[in-house]
Amino acid sequence: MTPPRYRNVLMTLWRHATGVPMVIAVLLALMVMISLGTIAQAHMPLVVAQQLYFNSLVFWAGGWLPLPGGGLLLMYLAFSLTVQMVRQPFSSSSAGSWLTHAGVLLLIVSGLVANYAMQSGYVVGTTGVATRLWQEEGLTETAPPSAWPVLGFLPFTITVDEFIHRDHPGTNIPAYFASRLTIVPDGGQPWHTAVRMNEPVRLMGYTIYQASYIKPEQGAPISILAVVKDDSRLLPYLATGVIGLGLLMHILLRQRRFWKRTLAAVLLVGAMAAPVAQAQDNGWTAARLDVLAHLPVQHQGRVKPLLTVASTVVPFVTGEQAPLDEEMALLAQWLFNPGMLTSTPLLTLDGALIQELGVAPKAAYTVTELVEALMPRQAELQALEQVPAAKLSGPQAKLMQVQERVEVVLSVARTFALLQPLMEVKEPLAAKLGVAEGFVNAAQVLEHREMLVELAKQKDAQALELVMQLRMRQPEQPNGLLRLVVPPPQDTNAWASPWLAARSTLAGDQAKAFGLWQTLVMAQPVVADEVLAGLRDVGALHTNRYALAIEVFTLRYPLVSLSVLPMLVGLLALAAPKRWRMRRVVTLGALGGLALLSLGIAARMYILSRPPVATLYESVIFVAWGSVLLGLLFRKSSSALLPAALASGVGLVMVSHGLTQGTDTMGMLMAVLNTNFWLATHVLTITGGYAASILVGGVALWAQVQRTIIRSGTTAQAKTHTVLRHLSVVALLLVAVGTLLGGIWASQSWGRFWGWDPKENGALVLTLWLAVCAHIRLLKPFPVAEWLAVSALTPVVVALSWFGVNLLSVGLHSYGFTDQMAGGLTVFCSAAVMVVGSLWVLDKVFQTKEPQA
Amino acid sequence: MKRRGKLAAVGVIVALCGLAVAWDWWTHRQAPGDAALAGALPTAVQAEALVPYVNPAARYTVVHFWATWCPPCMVEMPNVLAALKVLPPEVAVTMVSLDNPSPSAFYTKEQIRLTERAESLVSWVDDPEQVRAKAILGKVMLPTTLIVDGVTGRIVQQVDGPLSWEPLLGALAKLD
Repeated sequence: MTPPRYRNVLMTLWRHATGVPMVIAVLLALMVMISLGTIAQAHMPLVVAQQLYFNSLVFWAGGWLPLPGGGLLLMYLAFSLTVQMVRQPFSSSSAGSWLTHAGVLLLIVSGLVANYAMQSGYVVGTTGVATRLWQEEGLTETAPPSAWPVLGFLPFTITVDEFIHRDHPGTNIPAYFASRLTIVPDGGQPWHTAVRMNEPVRLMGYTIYQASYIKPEQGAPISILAVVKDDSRLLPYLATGVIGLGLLMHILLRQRRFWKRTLAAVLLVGAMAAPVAQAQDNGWTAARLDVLAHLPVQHQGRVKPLLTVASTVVPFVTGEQAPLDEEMALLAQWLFNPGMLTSTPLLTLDGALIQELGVAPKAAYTVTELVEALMPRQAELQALEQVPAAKLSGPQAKLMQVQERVEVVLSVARTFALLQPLMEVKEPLAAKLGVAEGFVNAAQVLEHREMLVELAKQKDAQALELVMQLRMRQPEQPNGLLRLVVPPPQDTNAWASPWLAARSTLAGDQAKAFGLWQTLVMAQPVVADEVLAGLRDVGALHTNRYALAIEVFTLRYPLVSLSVLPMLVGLLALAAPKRWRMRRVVTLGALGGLALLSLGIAARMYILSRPPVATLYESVIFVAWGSVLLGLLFRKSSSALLPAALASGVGLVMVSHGLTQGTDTMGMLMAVLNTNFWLATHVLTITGGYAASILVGGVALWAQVQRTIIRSGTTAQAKTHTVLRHLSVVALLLVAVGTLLGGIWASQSWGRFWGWDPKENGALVLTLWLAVCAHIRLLKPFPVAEWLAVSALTPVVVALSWFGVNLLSVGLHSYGFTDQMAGGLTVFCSAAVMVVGSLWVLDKVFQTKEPQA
Repeated sequence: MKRRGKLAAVGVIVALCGLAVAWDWWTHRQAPGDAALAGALPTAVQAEALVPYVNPAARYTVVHFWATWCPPCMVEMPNVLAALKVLPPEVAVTMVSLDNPSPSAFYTKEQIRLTERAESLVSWVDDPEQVRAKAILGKVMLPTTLIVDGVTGRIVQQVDGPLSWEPLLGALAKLD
């Protein structure tokens, strides 16, 4: 038996080890460890960071200070969760909480089990070669795939019969890749099957995923298949289910009234996602330009109206924003009258570049001037092209950009180079070429090139000049930037540029469209109206005319950006004195903003036919929409909610506007994101969670103000606190379930549930933070001031985990890397910390002065 | 009452686990069970040409085709020699040189010193006219490595290109 004195000591230890303060401390420590590990990934490989920070029992800070490592912290959490499960009563009111804790325990256990039960490797699938080698992934740059270290031999052979991969037309963004396989198990029958992104094949306890591919310098691309043997792969799915169920029950059983409204909000979100599951002076009048603006073109992989091209390409080239109509007119000039580029100065440079290039300072330069200035630097520029963009110095990147601007504008100008009139041809040459007397273009004479060369050798003056003219157009250098000719019926994605069309045999609508463009270019102002109408009609057969019209409309009237105006009016009305009775204006402002945002998002969904959350820009506007919607729905619960929602809405829309200045926000998606199901479930849930978290911050800030500055009554404060409590549980539900759904998606397409990727870690840190917010309330005595301060800082964590991890530029979620907002992020975070911190200090001062009952 | 509720919840979770496992097993049961490791059966010509290269004393024989005129082979060679020094007892290695004339000077120059045990497992063979190499591989591309099952005579794996030798031999030693 242990002596009573030791028993007392042991009991105290046990109490401390299983107490709430310890849990909170561990959650915070885990957050710190995950953040450190994520930042470390910027300068060390993921595997090393994982060993050092996430799996380790002890982390040696600076090499000498022992700190608890991620593994130890997780083990402690598992221990404390077990204790909690035994201790916590299981009643109808606490069942949700109990289940949630059980789910988290199951999740940690499954992670632990996976460490032993899961083995993952790769199979290098050279087309037509049977293999059973299961290899670690090596670096393609340093070692050929055959030299990747072998993990073992699979109990079946895999032969890649065919590797299929498609890029978005005219880009290098992979749209789709898949492998057709023959798998022969030992002593079994051959099995013919296929794996694609998000669609693995399972057999004999192994799961085979399409991971990536290697394009060797010569020969066919090599398909890289991830092969995972994981006997525990169902555990995380189950844990996710249990956690989701638990949190839902918690909300349903404890907070019924609140639940009803949340249900309304969720249904609305669902309703939005549901339909998705499936040149003036030379004749270019405003009316003609308008028709031109609506014509469809395939550019960067997407079919869009020409106006979108004008709104992105023209400011990029000129270096200046201009009204849309002017940009469209300029694009028309470049297309149909490219000669103007040599005479009209259009491209602006900043002071540093003027110095760098050594040109005379001017407001703007012609393309010719820039080409001449860049010419002596060609060797340097070619060397720079080999350097990854992230490693270029500031001046180098700027220099490259000038080069790119010149290249883009020349590409645009060359779009119709084959169709523009070369020279007048007379008989007998015209008859030989099979054309009528008059002007001909390169496309018409291209197939007769050899005959023309022969004639030129026989001293035919006309033929000689035609050959010279033809050579100047450089027909062997194709131009595929703007694909203006409608696609053939068998492949609706294969839009053709005038260059491609001129060199292939066309039929049906394609031939008609090409003919129309040819007429338009050859005899511009004379027949423009009829031809443009014809082009519009042909285009309408191959695109969604309404989608084009809507896109042009949203370019002219950017609904999302305009939504700031009513919301700003609402915010201003808030500042008005109470007796002016402006409450209605506030609500109306929020409603107006919400309506505009909804229209803008709906328009994007219609144009792109996918859920509106696939890019960083989209997720920002979706969160703005979500927070304004929540604010409106619950505006009666707390007077703080609507102002917080409005402020976050305005802020986020402004951030989104800054993110996308002068770019086409409707880019094509990487192959792995090309699935509406996961976009709709994972990304909608998690962005909804971000929105709720931002509101949590707003309400908590308001509660702090109530306590310290306004000193409102206890009832008013209690009301705000109730809202805050409910809102943070909703935020926790959405963020936690969203994060776990992301894990399931990753498990479906990459073969692992959790990979410590920065974006995943960001979401996990936010989940932990919200868990801390929820658990602080269990402390005795309940520290209101700390609870409010921690909750009020939630938006900082959201900003860091959402945008901050993008600044690291590492990881698999490479859909929105941007470094222009680092400054903004720093300002926002430090300002928020200062405000919340000073309010907390004030609160503490008041509490010591007049202790509450 | 409370205790029973908790038990019921645990029961439901366990039942769900069981259900999921059963469902997973049922939907993927078409996969065959653990059959003996087989591999591709060599053709008669291949089998005949392989006979002198396969070491009957070892479970697996790695047949490595190389030549001094093949740059990737020579880049790989230090890696091969290092791995030969720690050769597991189940695995034999036959190094087939396609040089003409024979690179016996290379062996001497490299001063390959293997332990007595490994010496019996490693053999250096010349095939200057590429007769056997063509019979076995069809089209000769270097370096190429075959892994032959000494018991069944089947070709377990063919790899074209340089290898990481130590992990490969380690994995072979662990195989069945």
